[in-house]
Amino acid sequence: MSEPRPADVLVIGSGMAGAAIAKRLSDHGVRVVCLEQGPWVLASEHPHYSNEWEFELRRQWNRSVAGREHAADYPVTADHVDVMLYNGVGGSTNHYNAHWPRLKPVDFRKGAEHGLAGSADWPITYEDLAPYYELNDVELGISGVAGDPANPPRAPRQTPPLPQGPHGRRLAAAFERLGWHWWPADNAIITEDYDGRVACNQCGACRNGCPRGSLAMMSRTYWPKALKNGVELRPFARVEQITTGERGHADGAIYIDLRTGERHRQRASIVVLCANGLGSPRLLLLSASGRFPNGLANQSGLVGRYLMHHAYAEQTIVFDEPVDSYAGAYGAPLLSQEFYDTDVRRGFVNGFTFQIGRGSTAAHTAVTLPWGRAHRAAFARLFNHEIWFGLQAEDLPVYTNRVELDPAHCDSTGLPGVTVHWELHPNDRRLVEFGVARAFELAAAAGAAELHTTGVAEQNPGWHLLGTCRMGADPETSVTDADHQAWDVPQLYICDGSSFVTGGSVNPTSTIGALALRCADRILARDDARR
Amino acid sequence: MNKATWTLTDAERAVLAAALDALIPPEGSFPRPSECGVIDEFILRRVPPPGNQPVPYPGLDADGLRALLARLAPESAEMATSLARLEQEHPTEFLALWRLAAYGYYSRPATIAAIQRELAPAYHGAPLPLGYADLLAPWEATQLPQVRRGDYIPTEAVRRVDLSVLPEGDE
Repeated sequence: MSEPRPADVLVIGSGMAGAAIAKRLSDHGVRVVCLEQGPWVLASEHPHYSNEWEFELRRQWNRSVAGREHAADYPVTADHVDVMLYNGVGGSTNHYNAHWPRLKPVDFRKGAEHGLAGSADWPITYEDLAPYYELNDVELGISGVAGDPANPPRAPRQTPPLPQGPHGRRLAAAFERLGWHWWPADNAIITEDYDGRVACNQCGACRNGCPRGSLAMMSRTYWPKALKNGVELRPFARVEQITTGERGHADGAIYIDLRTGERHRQRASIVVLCANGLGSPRLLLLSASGRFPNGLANQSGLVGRYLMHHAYAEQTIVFDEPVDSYAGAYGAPLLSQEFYDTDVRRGFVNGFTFQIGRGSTAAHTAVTLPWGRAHRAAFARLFNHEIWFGLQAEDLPVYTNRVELDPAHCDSTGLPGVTVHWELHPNDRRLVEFGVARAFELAAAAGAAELHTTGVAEQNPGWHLLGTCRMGADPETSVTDADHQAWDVPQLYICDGSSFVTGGSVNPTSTIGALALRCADRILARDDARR
Repeated sequence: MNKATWTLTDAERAVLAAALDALIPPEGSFPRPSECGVIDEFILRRVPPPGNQPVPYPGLDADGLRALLARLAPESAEMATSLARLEQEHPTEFLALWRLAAYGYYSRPATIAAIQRELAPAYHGAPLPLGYADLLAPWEATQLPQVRRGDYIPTEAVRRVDLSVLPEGDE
C-alpha cells in the first residue's frame, strides 16, 4: 500500500461541501487533497445535443442509483424513497435543479419553537451563517432579485431572475388574486455571463447537468479555482476506511484506486468528511474498529439517524392554452412561502414552500399517457399546456428514519452499500394534506382547466439527504459540535447535508455551501491547520 | 452514436412494427412509428444484444424483446387486443415496450417536425445548442408582486407554540 505525501487537510467527497471547503482552505495556503470515488464528468458526456436526451435521463443520467449503471456508485436499497445522488467530481450538483432558497432564522430554532419528534435547535443561528450564504453566492453566481419580505435581507443577486415565461406569469397572477406571498426565486443558474461562465440559454435540460456551465455544478465553479490553488483532486478514489491514530484522532484514510484496484493510505492532519447524507454515515460505520466498535464518531449512536428528505406532493396544472412550458431552466422561476411558518391552528407544526417549475418535455409527457387511439389527443392536450409545481414541506427529524449498512448489497470493491428506512410522520402527512388543498385553490385562481396531484407522496423522491450526522451543542444528542468537529474523534470534521438538525422547507444546497465555507473558516482558526 | 449489433427476423420485425403503430397510431402530420426509424435507429440500438444483461431502463434485453413479440398476435388487425392482453398479463414487459415506443417515437426527427407543425412551433428536440432564450422574454423589473407580502420570524422572536391543540401521539 503506497503512502502519498501527507496533506494538511484531507477532504472526502467533491460535491457542494467538499468543493467549497477545498477552495476556501486552499485560498489560505492549506495543502488539501480531495478523494472522489467517481470520475470527472466531461461536457461531451451530457446528452443535451441528442434528440434522445430524455431517454438518457432514464438511463445513464438517471438520478437514482438503481436506475443506472455507474461503476462508482454504491448500492442503495430503500423503502418509501427513491434516493437521488451522484458519484463524480461535483457530486450531486452534476444533476440538480439548482434551486437556491435559504433557510430562515426560525429554522435554526425548531427546538425552542416546538421540539416535536427529534426537532432541536441548531448550535448556530441564521446570523452566524448569513455571511457565508453571501460568500457562497458570489462564488457561484445566483440569479434572482433581493428584497423578498419573507426572508432576511440579502445582497443584490449576481444576475437577474430566470424568465418567468407565460406559465410563470399565470401563476404569479394567481398568487396575486389569492393575496398570497410570492417572489422570483433564487437559482444557481446565471442569466448573464458571470465569472468566465456563459449565461443560461434556457434549454431546459438542467436535470441532465449543464454542459454550458451556466448552472453551478461544482466541477465548473469551485473546482477550477481550487485546482489552480494547488488542491490535489483524485477521482476514482474510493475511501474504504477513515483511519485514526493512537490518541483516537483522525489521521487519514485508506482508499482504493478504482482504475487499478490498488490501495493507498493518505495521511492528513485533519480529515473532513463531505460524502452527503448517505455516504458520510456509511463511511463512518464502515470505519468501525476495536476502539470504535459502533463506527467512527458514533458514541451517541446517532450516526445515520434522523434522516430527513422533505415531504412532498407534486402537482401538474393544465391550461387550455399553450404556455411554452417545455422551455426554460428547470430551476424554479418563482416560489411562494405563504404557508412557511408554524400555525398550530392548522393542526400541525412547520410549513411548506410552493415552487413553480416548468412543464414536461415531449417524451416524458408521452410516456405518462394512454397508448392506442386516445394517445394522440391526450398528448396534444397535455404537452405545452401544463406546469409542474411542487409542494415541499418540512419533515420532522424522526429517530427511526435512518441509514444503515447493507452487507447484502456491496459495491464493486466489496464494501457494503446502504439501506434507507424512512416513513412520514403523522404531523407531516397533515401538513402536506393541508398544502394539497391550497394547491387546488391556486389552480382555480390561475384559471386552470385541470389539476393533477400525487397527494401526499408515499414514495419520496429522495432529492435531499439530510440530518444523519447532526451537529449540536451536546455530545449525547449530536454527532458533531458547532464547528462540525466530531465530538469523539478529534480532527475529524463532518460537513454536508448530514449536518442539518432540521430541514426547513427549502432546497438545502445553498445552506450546505454556507455551512461548508463556515466549517473551512473554523478549521483555519486552528493553530494546526497548516503543517 | 452506437450502432445496432443485432437484428430481428422479418417476422419479428413485422410484429414489432404493428405493435408500435397500434401503441401510437399516426394522426395528422404525425408519422407512423414503424416508418420513422423507431426500430432501426432506436430500439435495435438501445436494447442490449442477445446474451447481455438487460439494462435497468427500460428493463429488456434482445431475448426478452423477442419473447415479448412472440406473445403478440402476428396479424395487425388483432394487435390492439393482443397488446391489451399483454398489458394485463405481463405488465412489466408491456411497460418496457411502451417506454421504448414513447421515447423512441418522440425523439425521431419526423416526430419533432410534426410537433413543430401542430403543437409548438419553437420546439426543437435536442435542448442544445439552440436553447430557448429567444422564446422566453427576459425577466423585467415590473415582474414583482404588486403588493409586497410575506414576513419572517427573527431569531430573537421565536416563541414556543402551544402543542396541546395538536392531535395526541405526535410526540
